[in-house]
Amino acid sequence: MQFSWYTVILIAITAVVTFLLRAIPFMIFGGGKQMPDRVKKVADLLPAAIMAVLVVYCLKGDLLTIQSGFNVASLGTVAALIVVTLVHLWKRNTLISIASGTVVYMVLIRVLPLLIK
Amino acid sequence: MKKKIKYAFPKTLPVMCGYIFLGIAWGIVLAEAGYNFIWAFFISCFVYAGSMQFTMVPLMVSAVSPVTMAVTTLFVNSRHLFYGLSFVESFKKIKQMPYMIFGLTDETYSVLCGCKNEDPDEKNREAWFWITILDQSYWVIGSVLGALLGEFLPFDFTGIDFAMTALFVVILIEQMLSNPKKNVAVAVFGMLSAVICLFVFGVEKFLLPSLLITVTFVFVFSLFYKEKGGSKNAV
Repeated sequence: MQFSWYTVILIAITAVVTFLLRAIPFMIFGGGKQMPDRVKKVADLLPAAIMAVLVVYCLKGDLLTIQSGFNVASLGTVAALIVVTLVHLWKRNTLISIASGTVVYMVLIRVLPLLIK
Repeated sequence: MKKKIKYAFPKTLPVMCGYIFLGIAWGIVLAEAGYNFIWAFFISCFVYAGSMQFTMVPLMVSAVSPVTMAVTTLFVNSRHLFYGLSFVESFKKIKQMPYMIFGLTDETYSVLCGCKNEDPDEKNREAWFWITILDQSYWVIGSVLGALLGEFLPFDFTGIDFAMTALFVVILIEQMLSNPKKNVAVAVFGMLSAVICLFVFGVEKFLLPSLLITVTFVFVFSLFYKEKGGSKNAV
């Protein structure tokens, strides 16, 4: 593919719009003045809510298979999620929880299709 | 600086697993569309948005209009609108604030939320910059590798991106354990609204409506929720 300025412009647009979206809260509430208390309270409650939405976002593929019947890979996801949760409640060590869940997931998505036909 | 990196690096390990391999996947897609690793490097340096980078490749190939590109970016990345809200006051105290804003991806946002949760006084705030820049370096390295090596990688890494899902789950659990009174209700609501929106709006369009509904709920909840004792860090 030869170099094209048009593509560079498209990339620049994507970069600028992405940055602006991330910067809007700072443009509104940045500056010298403090954030109003009302907004601060909302901002303080948001992370847990957003994280819950992101978890669902990661699981969207598996959740949708509920509609189309049973899926072997989704079984791996459920098992790995249980492992992550239990290991984390037990050890409270982020890296151990993530590593054990990921290993279980990677093994299961390879092994389960062989076991369940 | 060494101390800050020592604090930052372990926190970024889950993102490393996710970003390197997702980056490779994206690099392969880009290379197959006819753009080499130099393009991969610059796009990952300047755009730095996972899902949008996947979306933009076919749009680049078909040379869509600038307006289409801008509107698509707006929709795909609109969720980022809400991330900054939690960090407005904190980032003001960081020298590299513009870069912190630029680097506020889903994953860096999550890691920083985790840091804030375990360290409410933000004693380690200076290390946040290193978290942000390490995360981006994984993404850039992955993208370039993917574009260079393509499908010649020796091992099948399918599934390693589960690390990202696990990261979000762990951070969510920590938030709920550390402050159940505040976080459990909003988390349950966020989860319910996302699941319902997923089935109502479909996989392509559900993220924005679920975030809008969740933010509205959090606003209403904040009107009734009272922090005990008046102290900022009271449980």
